[in-house]
Amino acid sequence: MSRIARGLKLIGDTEALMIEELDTLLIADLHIGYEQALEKSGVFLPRSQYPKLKRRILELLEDVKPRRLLIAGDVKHEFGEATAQEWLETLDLLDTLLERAKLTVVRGNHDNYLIPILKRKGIPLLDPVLAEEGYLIAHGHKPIPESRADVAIIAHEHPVLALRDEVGVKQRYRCLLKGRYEGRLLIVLPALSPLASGTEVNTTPRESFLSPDLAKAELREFEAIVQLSGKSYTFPLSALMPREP
Amino acid sequence: MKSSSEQLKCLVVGLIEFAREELKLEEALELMNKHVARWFSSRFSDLTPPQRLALKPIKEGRSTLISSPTGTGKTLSAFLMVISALFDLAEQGELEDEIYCLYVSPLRALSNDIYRNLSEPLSEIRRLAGDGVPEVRHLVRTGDTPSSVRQRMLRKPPHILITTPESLAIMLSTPKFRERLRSIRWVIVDEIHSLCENKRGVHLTLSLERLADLKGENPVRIGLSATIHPLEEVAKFLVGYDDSGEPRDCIIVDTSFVKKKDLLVTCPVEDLVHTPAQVVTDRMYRMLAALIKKHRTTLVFTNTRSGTERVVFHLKKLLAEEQSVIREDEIGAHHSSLSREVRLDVEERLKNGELKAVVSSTSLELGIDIGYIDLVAQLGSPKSVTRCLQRVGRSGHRLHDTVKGRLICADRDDLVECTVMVREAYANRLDRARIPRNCLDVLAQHIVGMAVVRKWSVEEAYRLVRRSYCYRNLPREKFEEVLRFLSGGYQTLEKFKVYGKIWYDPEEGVFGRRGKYARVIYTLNVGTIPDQVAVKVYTESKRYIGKLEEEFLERLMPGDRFVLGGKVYEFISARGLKAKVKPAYDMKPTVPSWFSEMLPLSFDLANQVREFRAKVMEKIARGEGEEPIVRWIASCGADEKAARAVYRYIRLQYMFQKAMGAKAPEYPDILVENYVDEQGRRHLIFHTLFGRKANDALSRAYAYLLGRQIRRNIGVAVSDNGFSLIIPAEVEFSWSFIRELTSENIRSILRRAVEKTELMARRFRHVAARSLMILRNYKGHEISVSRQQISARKLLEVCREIDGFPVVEETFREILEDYMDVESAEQVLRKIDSGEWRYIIMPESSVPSPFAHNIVLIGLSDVILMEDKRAMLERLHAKVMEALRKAGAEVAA
Repeated sequence: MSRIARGLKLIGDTEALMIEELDTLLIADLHIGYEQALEKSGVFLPRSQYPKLKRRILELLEDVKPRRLLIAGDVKHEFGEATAQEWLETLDLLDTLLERAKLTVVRGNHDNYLIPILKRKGIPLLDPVLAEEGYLIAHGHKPIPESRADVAIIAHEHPVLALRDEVGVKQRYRCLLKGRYEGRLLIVLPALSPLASGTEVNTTPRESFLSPDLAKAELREFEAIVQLSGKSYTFPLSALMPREP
Repeated sequence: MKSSSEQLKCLVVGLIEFAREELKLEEALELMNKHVARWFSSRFSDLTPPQRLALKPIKEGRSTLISSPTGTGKTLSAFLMVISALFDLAEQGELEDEIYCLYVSPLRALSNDIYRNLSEPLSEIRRLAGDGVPEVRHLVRTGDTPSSVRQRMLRKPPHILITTPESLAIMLSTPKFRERLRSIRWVIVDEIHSLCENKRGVHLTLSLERLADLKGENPVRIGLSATIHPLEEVAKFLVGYDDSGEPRDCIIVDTSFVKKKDLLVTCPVEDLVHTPAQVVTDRMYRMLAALIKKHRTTLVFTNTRSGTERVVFHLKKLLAEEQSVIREDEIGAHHSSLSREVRLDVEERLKNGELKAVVSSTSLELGIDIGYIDLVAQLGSPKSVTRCLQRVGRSGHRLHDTVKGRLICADRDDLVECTVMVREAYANRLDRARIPRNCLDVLAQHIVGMAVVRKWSVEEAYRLVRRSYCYRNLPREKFEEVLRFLSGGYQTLEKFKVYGKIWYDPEEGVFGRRGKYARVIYTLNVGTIPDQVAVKVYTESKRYIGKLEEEFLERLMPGDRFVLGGKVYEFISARGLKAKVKPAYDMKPTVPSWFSEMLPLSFDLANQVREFRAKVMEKIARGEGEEPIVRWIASCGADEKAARAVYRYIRLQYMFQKAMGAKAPEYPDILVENYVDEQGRRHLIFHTLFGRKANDALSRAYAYLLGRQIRRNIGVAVSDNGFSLIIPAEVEFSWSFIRELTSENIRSILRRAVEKTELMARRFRHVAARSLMILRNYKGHEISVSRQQISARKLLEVCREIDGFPVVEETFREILEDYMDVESAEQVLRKIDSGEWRYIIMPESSVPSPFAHNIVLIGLSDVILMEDKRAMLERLHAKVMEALRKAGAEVAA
């Protein structure tokens, strides 16, 4: 784990963020059931992602032992209404997590049908944000509301860094973004889902970013942080983005 | 009917025999239905060579493979006895409304041609037979056939059904129509040479086995092929195997060399090194124009689509300048990027003799009747003896004409290659065709097709599949692995097997269809030809420029410059399948355009070229003198200029190697150079003259090992004549990496070398589509080819995590065996392992040998434009001359 800012630590292989003051572990964009969505567009993948995802979250919880686990939106990938069977993995995960920590969810754009289920299980759902002690956590599909928080944390973008080596092979790395926006620290969480595609933060033009705030932010002044096998790498985006015309 | 096997003088090769007994015209007419005989005699004065040999075996119900060039009456050889039998039945009042004969061809256009060609004889013969005799009906059924016609076909089937491989696979799974296929007695497969080396052919063999299984017995199979080798293997490909593992019976009618040949290799200038590029090109076009003027109709082959347009453009310009008698509109272009209408128009005009010349890349290789061609001109090397003969064989349409071909080469390596090629062509020594084996994706597709029809036991299905030549050695585990994949068997939770298309019970050993969409999915996604996922490229002002492949786009970063439509552009950004670029016309590209358009030199021919070079060097070493050697080279089939250019090239290499000292390699040893260029790059050049496919395998494996040693990525340049590994000159390395590669470990090393590449991602997508893992058309919706939801690369990542996942395994197999040639590479490595062949490594030098120049040019990381290329060549050449002078060697100018 490595310190991102005061009281914030990046956990695992760029997977989660620990907010020490709130004793909360933050993950986002799980998109459980993404394979189903693919199926509807004629791509048939073996459904092998969920067991890995579940195991990984449990390992993170074991390592960090937070009081609370907060999911910053998009727990299940939704594609219209789903059958009971298609909810199996999500229900299984929620039940398992409830045994390990206090669970809270901030609403994401894919969480519509999740709401009644959360209610039934007594899992608090915050919409649109969780605001506590100077921290503001939202999913990021809508602009961040006015607030006096000094740290805003969003997800939704699934940030990825595209790097190229000496012989021209391009590699993509999941990353966390850190910068300043509207007078406060803005953090963009990595997506936990291994399948859902992401935005290449150093090559994508501003207008194409999914999050309305990132489309307006001065990304050149942001940093992308990649953590792999215990080592952490910070990349100033100004060094990696194409020069201004 | 008395078996006439005693009468046949046969050359027996297992159960596959070459036909030897030739029929005389009267004997043949005796065998035919009398009206058919009358019709035949009214049209033809005699039998053609394939007819002499094929008519009797076919009449006797023996499967037959006919290999013969264009215009030798092949089609009639196949159909005559079938039509004769049908009219016999008709006269006896026993002709049912059933399909008796199935004709399969890979081209819809050809199917339409055959339909037209059969109409006349069928109606003529019926007229001769009289009105009392019922019609013998023939119809075409392909993807284009409207459903109303299909309905009618179901109620009243034709006696002769003409179709394509894909339509056949669909018919076999259509519940009602498939019943109609049981009555088929003869199957005619046309253009087998264009099917047997790719997955389309593999796909067809499984369809044929399904057909035989449906019938309960094997129908008579008749195969028609242009020149190909080895015929015994192609015959087994056609007829398949029985359950005891023996190939079924087949008679081979080989009349491929019945026509006389007039082939010549020519060179436009005396001195390819010093003559400016413009002049060489200009002379080449003049040469071509002169040939076109001297002949009635010329077919010109280039090797690339882009080449085709360029040649037509320059030819027209030249002819206009010369104020030639030939009009501009008498020159046509034909290639797959042109619209169908344009191509059909060119084919019509060609057939009607309205064109003086047609320039084509490869599309005209398939057998459409294109009328009278008296010359085939090939620009550059066709890369294999077989292809050379197939192309040249388009000329001389009538039986007694000579096939005439001129190969015009402006590159020294091409000249050497073509000289040897023409020699082999005259000697009728073809290179071997390679038939793909154990393709798991095609298998998966057919298993779904089979499951759609009924329940199967694994045993039954496995036995059926093994009757196909391509699957005769398929291990049982692989078969079951495919079943597991198709039934969704990689889930930890039972309930998630929803994505399976079949259900499979491994305990009971049975499988069948699952879900109401299985048949629709199958029908709408049948086929082996991969979809092109095209990214549309626009400028900032929204002007459309052209298309790129998705996998190429995935490699790009903003600022990269590449070539499209002959111009340089800079990549800005991409969204989904639209890319934005800006023109960078005056700049050099930074990302090389892929040269996958170039055909690879065959392994067999490459070995011949290697020996030829050695032979010439031997003659030089023995002091035989320039004139006798040039004459000897010319006797292979080259004109004087070409022969002299070949001589000078090889002599220069010989002298250069001599100047290097006693360590110069002698055949069969392989020269390895260590060249450091002016930009500080080191090129390790291996003169492995084995063809690009084998070299692709060798180079990647060595590059991987060297990369592991120095912990960097390696630049690789590959050609037919060798490859080079490129590293920065200051990096220390050891030659020990060469010893790490053996014939035993090359496959596992290649897997590691290839798994993260663009090639792997692209092929994976193709294989996944064939395996019905990614659908083109699902639940009735044409899926926009956009894979926005997930990239091939990501899919691949997920699937790689599953051990032995068939789609991944097949991707590796296809890349290693079909795209590259790992088997030939293994052959080479075995010789190296045993010490029979050695790598002879030269000390570091700042001058590459003449044979290395082309490889060096490929290896330069800034892609050089054509004009610069020549300048570079001249500079390299000058260095060679300088080195020789220093060594005191006698150098000619």
